[in-house]
Amino acid sequence: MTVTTSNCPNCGGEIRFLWPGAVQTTCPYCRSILVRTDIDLRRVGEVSTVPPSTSRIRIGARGSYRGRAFTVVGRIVYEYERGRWSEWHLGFADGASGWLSDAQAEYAVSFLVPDHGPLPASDQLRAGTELERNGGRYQVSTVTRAHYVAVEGELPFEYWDGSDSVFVDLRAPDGRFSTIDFSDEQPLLYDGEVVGWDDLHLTGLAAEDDEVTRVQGTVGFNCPKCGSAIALRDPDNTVNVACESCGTVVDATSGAARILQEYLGKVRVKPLIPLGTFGTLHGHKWQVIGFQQRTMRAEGHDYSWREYLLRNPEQGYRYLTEYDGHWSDVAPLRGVPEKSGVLEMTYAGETFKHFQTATSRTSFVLGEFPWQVRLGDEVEGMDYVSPPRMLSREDADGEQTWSVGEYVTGDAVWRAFGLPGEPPKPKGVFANQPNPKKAGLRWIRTAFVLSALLLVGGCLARVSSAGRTVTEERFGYIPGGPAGGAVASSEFTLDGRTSNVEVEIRTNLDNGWGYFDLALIDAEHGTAKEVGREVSYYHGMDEGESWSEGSEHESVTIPEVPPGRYFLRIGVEAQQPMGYTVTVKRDVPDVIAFLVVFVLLAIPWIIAEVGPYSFEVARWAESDHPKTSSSDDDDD
Amino acid sequence: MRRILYVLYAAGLLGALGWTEYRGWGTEPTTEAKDVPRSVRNNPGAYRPHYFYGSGRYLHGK
Repeated sequence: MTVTTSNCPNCGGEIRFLWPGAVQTTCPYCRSILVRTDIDLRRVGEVSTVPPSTSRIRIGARGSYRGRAFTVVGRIVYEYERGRWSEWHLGFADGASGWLSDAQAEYAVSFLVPDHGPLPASDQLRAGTELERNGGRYQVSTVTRAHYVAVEGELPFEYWDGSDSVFVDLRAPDGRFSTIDFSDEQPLLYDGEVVGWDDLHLTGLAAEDDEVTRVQGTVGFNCPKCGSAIALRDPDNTVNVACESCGTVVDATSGAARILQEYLGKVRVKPLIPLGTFGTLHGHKWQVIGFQQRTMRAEGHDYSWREYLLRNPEQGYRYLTEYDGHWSDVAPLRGVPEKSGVLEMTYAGETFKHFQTATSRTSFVLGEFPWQVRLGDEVEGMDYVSPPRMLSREDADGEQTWSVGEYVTGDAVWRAFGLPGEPPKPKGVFANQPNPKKAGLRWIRTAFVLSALLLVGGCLARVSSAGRTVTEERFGYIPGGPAGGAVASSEFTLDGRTSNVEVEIRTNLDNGWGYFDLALIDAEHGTAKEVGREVSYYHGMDEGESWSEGSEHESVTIPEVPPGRYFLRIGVEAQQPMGYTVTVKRDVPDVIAFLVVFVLLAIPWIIAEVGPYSFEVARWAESDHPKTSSSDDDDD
Repeated sequence: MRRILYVLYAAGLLGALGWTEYRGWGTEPTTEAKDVPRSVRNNPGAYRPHYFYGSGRYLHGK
């Protein structure tokens, strides 16, 4: 980038232009606001003091966005009711102008869209409003009334007045980001995306350990209530601070340490992680700077959980939440989730089920917050779960924020922050707690299905290939006939391996019974296998309804019959004459045995399913949708 | 460990079933008789199953 120089018309100091397109800049020596004309610089005013900053970004820093090199050439600081944010002006190497929004270390790069077409009026937009744009669906995340409080460096436009304007932020599910700026007569549109610190590849930053010198403003004061020293850990962004000694909430923005709220409660909650503690999570160093307890009321009971606000100068903020020994590591979302069902949201390809909607209030607060926090503050929250993750939405003061939490164990938190002793033991089941009993469940399901398929395949193969008929003979029976009703069949040969033999008896019994003594006699060795079977069949009409009982046929399977020559001796007893047919089949599959094995295979799988299901029942018992009957817990 | 146990359990069940089917094993109680006279075919009324008198067979009827 070519650097051009000029001199300040007010003090004569050297003015270096980092970006050729700059329209306005500020003199670093006398703080004059200078507008660039064709031939000279014109002084149009003087900037107010730039508020203290802990950001490592500074004018002159370089970076790249999607492969396009840029230099940070200017900055506008905006202030709104709940705090401040910076818009860093980026001068790209190709001459383009862009903006890096730095709102409490949440970053977004955007570019002015010159011909954007019609835009909705600001009063038509509310947090949660959805808009179709650029072939995608955007959602209004914030509607902010703000004004600029300071500028520095080079800007692509001239100085403007400092009255309040409306800024509307839009977010798409894929992280795309837009701002509609209503500060001008015609609204301006900026399109871009939310980015991470590492995506910007920044160099030439303020030194990482030089936070004190970066912060030029108030970094500490005494509590106006109890006089205890309050040292701000995040003076750039802290809006409220609750005194760690007396709990008084103090305004940290004005420098006057104004009391916003006195702590009148009797219950003091001691943070398990002391404020100021450093810990390492996701490869970055975080410091606990704020702590609040929030409470919701359901069915006459108060449920309280605790939130620890963690801060990293580059990575921004994240939270650790704790309820009954269950911890979640929570980070704000870059995009917004999409509704994928009546009670479902999808984010990053993952579906979350609605768990609970509840209004919570802040019941205790300590330390610093980059937004206004006071006792009794209420927000409406909606939680969606896909263990071990949980999507949470909070609605308050025209702002809708989404975050995603991931369940972490107390041990992991203790390790991350180097805390002494043991974490509190978890009680009960938490909303996004992974189901420990699901370990191996998918595996056993697969193993069971494969075994069952093998079993069914084997059964079908047996049924289709086995069970061939060896002989079939017809006989008659007359009570009191010769040989006591006993007959012998013709000889038949059973070949192949030792296997079973099925004898089927079909009769023409009609409202009667017959008993069959069967002896399968080995014609060669003089041995016999003897079994008996009764056949009975009755039917009739009873009060106009027909009925029947029993069957005209019966069968018996004789196990383990070696090959050889055989005949059947059939002794019959019956009350009435009858005809009957005897059919002998060889190697008949035992379908009952297949069914028994199927049940035995299923028992471990069923036992394995019961444990996780009871866990899910316990999980959802705390939700707006308690489980009552069938399982739908397939999210392991 | 539970996975191995289930594999062994399933393999054992399927193997036992396969062997049972191959050998024609069954649960039907049969009475084994030896030295059955070869003349039974000619005079089946002369042969009585071994349990015919002793076991008190139950004769059903409506």
